[in-house]
Amino acid sequence: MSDQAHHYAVAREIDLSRVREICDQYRNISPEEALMPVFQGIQEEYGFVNEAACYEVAHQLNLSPTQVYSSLTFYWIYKWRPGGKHRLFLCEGSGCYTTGTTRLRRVVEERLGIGAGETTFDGKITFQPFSTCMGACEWSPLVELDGEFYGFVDEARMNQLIDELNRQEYDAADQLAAPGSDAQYALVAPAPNSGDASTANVAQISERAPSLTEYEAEQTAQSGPQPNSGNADTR
Amino acid sequence: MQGYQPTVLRNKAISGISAIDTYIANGGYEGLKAALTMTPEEVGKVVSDSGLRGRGGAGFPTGRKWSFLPPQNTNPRPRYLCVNADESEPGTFHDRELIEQNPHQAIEGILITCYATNIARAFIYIRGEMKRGAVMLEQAIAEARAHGFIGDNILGSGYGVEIVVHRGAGAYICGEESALLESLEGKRGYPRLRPPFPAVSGLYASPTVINNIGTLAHVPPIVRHGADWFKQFGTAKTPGPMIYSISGHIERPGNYETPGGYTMNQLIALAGGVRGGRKLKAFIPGGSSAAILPADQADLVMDFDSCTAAGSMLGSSAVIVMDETTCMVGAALRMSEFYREESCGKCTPCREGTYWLVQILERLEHGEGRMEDIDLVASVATNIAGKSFCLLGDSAAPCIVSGIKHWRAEYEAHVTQHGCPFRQH
Ligand SMILES: Cc1cc2nc3c(=O)[nH]c(=O)nc-3n(C[C@H](O)[C@H](O)[C@H](O)COP(=O)(O)O)c2cc1C
Ligand code: SF4
Ligand code: FES
Repeated sequence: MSDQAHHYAVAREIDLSRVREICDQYRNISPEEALMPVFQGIQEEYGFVNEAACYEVAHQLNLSPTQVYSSLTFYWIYKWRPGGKHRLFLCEGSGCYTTGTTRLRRVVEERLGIGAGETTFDGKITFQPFSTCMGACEWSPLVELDGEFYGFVDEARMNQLIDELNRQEYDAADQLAAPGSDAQYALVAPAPNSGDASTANVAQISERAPSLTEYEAEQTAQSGPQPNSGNADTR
Repeated sequence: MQGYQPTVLRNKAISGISAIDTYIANGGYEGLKAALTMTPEEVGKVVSDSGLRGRGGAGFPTGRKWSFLPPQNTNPRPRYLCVNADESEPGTFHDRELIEQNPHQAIEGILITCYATNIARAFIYIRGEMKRGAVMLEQAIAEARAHGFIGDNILGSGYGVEIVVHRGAGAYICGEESALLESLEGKRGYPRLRPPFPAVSGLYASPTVINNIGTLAHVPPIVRHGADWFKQFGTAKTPGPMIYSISGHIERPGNYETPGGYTMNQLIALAGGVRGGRKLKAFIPGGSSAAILPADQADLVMDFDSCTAAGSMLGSSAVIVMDETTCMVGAALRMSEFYREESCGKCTPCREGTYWLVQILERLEHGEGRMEDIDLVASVATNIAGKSFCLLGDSAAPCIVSGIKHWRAEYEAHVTQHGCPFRQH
């Protein structure tokens, strides 16, 4: 949720002239090699790659649509349908599992009212738990929100992250809604321990969990290069 | 060994080494300069003599792998180097630290490897989820190019190399070397039948070397300091420093570079002991593909051959520590879910078998299992192993087979108590 965080446009359609431009960036390499970078470009811009884009890529790169489609559907990062504006990933790999992720999943499911792989109906948040390790087990349990890693997440911190999303996404709408109207908290349930679900209450939680980029910077400032110095000098 | 200085994860000792100036000020690219004064064969010989073994999982001697390339006069096709940075084995995160914090050492290793094997084009296949790492690698490559280390005429030697960063898109199987090649060619990441081996017919049917990025980061210090310097570390059969990714129930999880030859107990001590002062129950020496070992084997020396002899494997040296609160059925279930998700679907034993493993383990974990399920799950697991097209299928079995071997009573308790005795997760 920092400045670099990547939010997906809530687009429903892909601009094919933009697809052409993305393909044009890779004219100097073989079409096969270009395929993945092109998909990545489209996925990153729109949050999905649909059938129309698939045909356009095939046409532009002079590959058969079957080949393009077969590659596209193999990799989970490429989505066939638009996802939410925010992507919340929960790592459930073996490293994170041992440090306790089942409770975190429960928090998300209860508060967002969506299960694994689902998106809130207003298209704001997609939740995806993963059995695949995210490759950062030193910070487990690990959550990735909009491309930022959040480490050592416990239930309180998970609640905090959701509060922050809540604040970002629904506060503006709340100001339009009449005070106390039900429209205020249509989607995101309040944290169980945050008591009264008033806007002020949620907005007060300005102290958000630091992302790992910030965490690292802080640790470096405090104690030299690394959170844990791997110098093997205890032997 | 008091005061051991890391030679690969040098960022642990020197802050800011990801910047090229700091890297050069600390002896960076000296290995490349030294290599350029030797013939490619001499460089290959130093690496062979050092006994460096691949850190990607199989522990194959690196120098020997390079020597499999056919002589250029018999196969004139262009040759490629594919650098495996698809690190996705659960529990492994040393390549990520290397890429993000000491990228120039990886790049220097790639350049020396290309020189030794007469390759002009290298691809770094980096895991799709590691976006930050990919950006940092691109940046480091641009810096190295500006300093004349990459390009047509490296440091005036007349020798040229290009390095391309290729991002994957989320598939564990693309770490398997032949699936990686397929993926680089823009196809589905299905493993290939071997032979022909990649050294003869790899990327675009050309001779190809595939190495783990961490393996190649060991090359610059070897070339710079010599094979004997490297062999002073580690054990006789696994020379050199070893990097372990330690995670799970441990006080200070993280990557630890050791001078090699450490036992599991020493590693636990190094990382601050078991979390919360609890008792060690089990550990995995090499990521989720390795068999789980019980605490009484913690005096095991953590190198390739000792781990294999103990019935497990060092694999990607991802050490997962489990304390007495860990449920072995739950852990096996998580790992099986991982293999079910990541099975590429090409062959039946793995595609269907991993699905059934999850089904059976799930009902055991949730207290709906029968006593026969324990042997059933073991038999499904052993029927996947050895009958699958690639090693991913084989990797799904050890966590279950070893779990039942050492903790059968715990599996039985799930049946008799109609649920998980550890129900806190
Ligand atoms: C299912 C599977 C997944 C693998 N994943 C990786 C990986 O993520 N990173 C890696 O370096 N090697 C991985 N390997 C090992 C590679 O196939 C290959 O042995 C290695 O990259 C060779 O490099 P090395 O000789 O430097 O170790 C995997 C192997 C299998 C069977
Ligand atoms: S063993 Fe699994 S991953 Fe390997 S080829 Fe068969 S289905 Fe694919
Ligand atoms: S298991 Fe979650 S990051 Fe590795």
